Amino acid sequence: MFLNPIKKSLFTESGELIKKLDCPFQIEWSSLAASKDGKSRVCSVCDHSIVDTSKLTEQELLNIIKKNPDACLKVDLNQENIRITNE
Amino acid sequence: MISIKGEFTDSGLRIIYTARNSKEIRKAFQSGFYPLVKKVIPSTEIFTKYAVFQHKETGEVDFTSDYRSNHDEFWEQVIPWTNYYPYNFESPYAAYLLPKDLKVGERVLLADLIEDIVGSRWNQGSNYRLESCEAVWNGQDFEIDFDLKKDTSVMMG
Repeated sequence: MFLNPIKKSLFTESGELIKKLDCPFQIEWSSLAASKDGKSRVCSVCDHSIVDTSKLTEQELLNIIKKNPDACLKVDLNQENIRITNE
Repeated sequence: MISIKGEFTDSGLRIIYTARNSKEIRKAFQSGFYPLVKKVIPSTEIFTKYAVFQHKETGEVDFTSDYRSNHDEFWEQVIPWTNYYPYNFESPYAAYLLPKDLKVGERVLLADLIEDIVGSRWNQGSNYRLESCEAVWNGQDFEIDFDLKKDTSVMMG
């Protein structure tokens, strides 16, 4: 996967947009409560679920967003399964 | 610009929008907003990097910004790692559009921050700008409420 931190967008290896990471709020991940199934956390501002992308494949993320377009993603610039791009 | 809409956030904060050129600023003034005009000044703390590699046999070009990119012996680095400021703004000035009833001490969400503040840091050295944040109106300016110590490398949305 590729993350463009300037456009705040996450892409697949083939260039397909997975999600734009445009949350305007400064939310601290570590302070958020885990969801019932433990696979995501619940946003303290808007109640959307936020999925940790660090251990998921791009196909798994595409499936999550397809199933629930309102789901948010959390990406750490330093996580192993992404490369940073400026394009 | 951040894709938020409406007059207030779900949590009740008034959203302050930014006009990025003279036409937008004049139009907002005519619509009843007070434009708080500021210079757009790039911060020297905000930068990222790139390098360009070219295949020695085919001429194919690869642009990269991540040291982890792999290039074998058939690729030659034609532009070395170079830092640059990666954002473009259409005018050297911009304005926060203040509603006439904005109160001193009111906490707001600045939807499109004019000030260049580091919002996130990457462990390869790049720093990216904060695009939006909460602030408090003191009657003269906004006091920006942002703590870079929190989750500095995390992006959500």
